[in-house]
Amino acid sequence: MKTTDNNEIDTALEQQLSEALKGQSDGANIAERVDKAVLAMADAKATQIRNARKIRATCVWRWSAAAAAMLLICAGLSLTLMQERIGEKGRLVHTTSQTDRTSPGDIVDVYILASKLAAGEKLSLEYDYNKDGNVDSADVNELARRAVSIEPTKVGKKAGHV
Amino acid sequence: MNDQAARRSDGELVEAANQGDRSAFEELYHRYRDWVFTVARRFSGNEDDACDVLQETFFYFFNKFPGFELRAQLKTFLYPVAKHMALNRSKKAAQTVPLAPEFDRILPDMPRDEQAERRELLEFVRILPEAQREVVMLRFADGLDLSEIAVTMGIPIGTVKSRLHQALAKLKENLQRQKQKKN
Repeated sequence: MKTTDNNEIDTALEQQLSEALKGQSDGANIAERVDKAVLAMADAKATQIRNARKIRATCVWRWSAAAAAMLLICAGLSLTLMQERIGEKGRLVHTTSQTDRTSPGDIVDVYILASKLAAGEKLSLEYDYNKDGNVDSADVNELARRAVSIEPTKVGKKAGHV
Repeated sequence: MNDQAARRSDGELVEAANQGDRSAFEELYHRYRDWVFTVARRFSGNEDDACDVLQETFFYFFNKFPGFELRAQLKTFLYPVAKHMALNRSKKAAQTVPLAPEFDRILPDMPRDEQAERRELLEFVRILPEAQREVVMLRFADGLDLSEIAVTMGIPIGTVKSRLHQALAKLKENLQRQKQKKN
């Protein structure tokens, strides 16, 4: 019973406090110069943010254009290199490393061999990498395996160069 | 102030202000202007200083844009800024800050008995220890809940609860003693 009375007193007191203390901000006598200064600052800040956003948007556009240009240049270079590897008339060409047989050939060699087989071109047994007497898709797989193999290549031995 | 701005929540206004929307800045100012002024007056002791603190508080607040994130009620951000600026100003001026000066303001029209009772209550709040009085003001004058008071003052919620409990107990005791005297 006493606790209930206390709770009622607390609630009443809290109510009294709210009523007495709320509304204390009524009649705030704020000088006009303050409103003007703050609103001018708000205006300046908003303008600054909008200008910064415009500049940022321009920068993003410029960076995108630069990235696109770089991609185009890279794509062009890749095509040129690929053509050099394939040769003007689509013939297989050995690069320096392939000529001296010190590397196992790479994925471009695999791609070129696969393309030629897909086009129905007849290739010499020089490209019979798995030594089964035929040049077919099994040789493409064998060349691919060698291209990604971590085993060291024996220098001077034919090792998958197209 | 247009209708669209009036409908926007604080979070939406902050978001818009981050995008450079001038009306959002203005609406935030008009929404919290009087309250910040009251807090500033509470700590600085006079209206002239409170005006300067109001201006400085909003300059500080607006300079947080863009990039300001609203994680709690905006009052929890504005209160400590206004409080510290007001106290610094008072220290610089070597003023003696009166306790909760808004209590001296004229009370609204009401019967004499009620007015006397209210004056007594305000007087008892005025003589509370500063830490307890601050919690009472934040709770009942500014309408913050306990967790918001804890964030605003940078103290644990348990401390807020105990300060509020002690303040209410003291007020209750003083009011009862006053009643007994009258009887």
